[in-house]
Amino acid sequence: MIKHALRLLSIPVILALGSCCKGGSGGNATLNIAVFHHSKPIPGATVYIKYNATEFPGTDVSAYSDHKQAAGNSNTLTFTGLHCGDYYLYGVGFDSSLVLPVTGGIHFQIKYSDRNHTESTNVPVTE
Amino acid sequence: MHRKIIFSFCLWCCSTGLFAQELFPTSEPASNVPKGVIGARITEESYKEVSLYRNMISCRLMYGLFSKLTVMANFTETNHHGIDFPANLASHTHVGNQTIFTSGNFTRGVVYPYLFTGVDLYAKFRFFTRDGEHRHLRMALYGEWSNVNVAHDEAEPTLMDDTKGYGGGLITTVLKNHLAVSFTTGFILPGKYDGNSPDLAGGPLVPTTLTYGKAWIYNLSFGYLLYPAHYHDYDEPNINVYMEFKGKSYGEASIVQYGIKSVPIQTPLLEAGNYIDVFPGIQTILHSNLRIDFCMGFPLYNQSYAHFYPIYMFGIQRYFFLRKRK
Repeated sequence: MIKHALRLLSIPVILALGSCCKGGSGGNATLNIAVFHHSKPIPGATVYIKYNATEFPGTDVSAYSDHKQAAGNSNTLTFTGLHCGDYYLYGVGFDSSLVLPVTGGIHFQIKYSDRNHTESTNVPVTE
Repeated sequence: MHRKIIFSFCLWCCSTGLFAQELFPTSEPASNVPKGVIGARITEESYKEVSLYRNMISCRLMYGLFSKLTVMANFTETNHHGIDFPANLASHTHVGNQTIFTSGNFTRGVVYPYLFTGVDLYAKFRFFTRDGEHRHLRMALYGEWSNVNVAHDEAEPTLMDDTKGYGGGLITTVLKNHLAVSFTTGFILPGKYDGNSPDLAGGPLVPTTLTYGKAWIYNLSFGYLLYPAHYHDYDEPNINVYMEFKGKSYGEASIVQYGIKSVPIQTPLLEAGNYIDVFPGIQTILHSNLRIDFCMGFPLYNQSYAHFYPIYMFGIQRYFFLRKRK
């Protein structure tokens, strides 16, 4: 009976050891981000990043770990020095054609196998 | 040890011969797999959706961990859903300075490739047993966990083939002579699916989270041993007929897009619902071990939006007893 119990207990322990990635700074991964409203690039957008998060942390930007802003003529920006793990990205911009602010969030995961690579993702936003 | 296992297996063969009518094709009885015995089951479930067949192939491994505790693992492959949600599940339009989010009746019958959807773990503990001659009353508690991860696009959760999450409940099985009756009631607490939807305006995929409705299940199963009327030996084939009523009530789904925008639910596919399906079935058991069953499912009260009708189910199952390693 003890043997059976130990066998069963070993399964979650092995699974826990396998998931050793924790999103945060100090790593070697790079994340390139482009901000779009539908197919329209949003130049000058800001993206807030929350380390080790899979859920939307909220619209209060002080709850985020870091942020970057795209240049005024570009919709792309880059976070460098990231660990593998989970990140939540929250984009804030302005759609000049609608004359409306646009926002949107997305979860992104850097896999262990990509911990030294450059990854890319879009952050779709809406009004 | 080896003799003990063979002895328990023989006892189980006897009980299988006598109580085979409680081996329901779609529901679990309160009885257990004997300690130390491994079972394997392959199930195929099909239904026609518009012009194509949706199939689920499931491989189940069972093990009698203790005399009162059975554990199971189901590995499932289906072409029910894809990785991304279908177009029109949720979308929005711009009217002046306003944005109107809608959820719609998306196209059914979309072709999806076969996907390994995940693993479903199940444990059943029999806590009450009252056995008599040709009769028994047994009760068991069960718990279930699933990590199935596909873009299921209806409110109704189903742990083994559509949604991840947890479940649990109570099984009560009564057997008297040739008739077995079993009632299962339980709950499903589904997880959500974080996926993407196509952007109808041609932009990048839209992050979409679908949270499925919590569900209650209530299944009533009848089984009747048709042949043989009296056993002469345990190699005699069994023929059993079944009538199973499978009911479910589930809550409304919720959709969030762009991480922040809640989408109103405007389609019955994602609304709360309840239904009862009926599954007549037939089964043969050869050499008190090899079990082959077939059943079909039809709507009896309301209908499920998670599948079409009729549903065809075919299953084949066999038990193996372990040899002690030297």
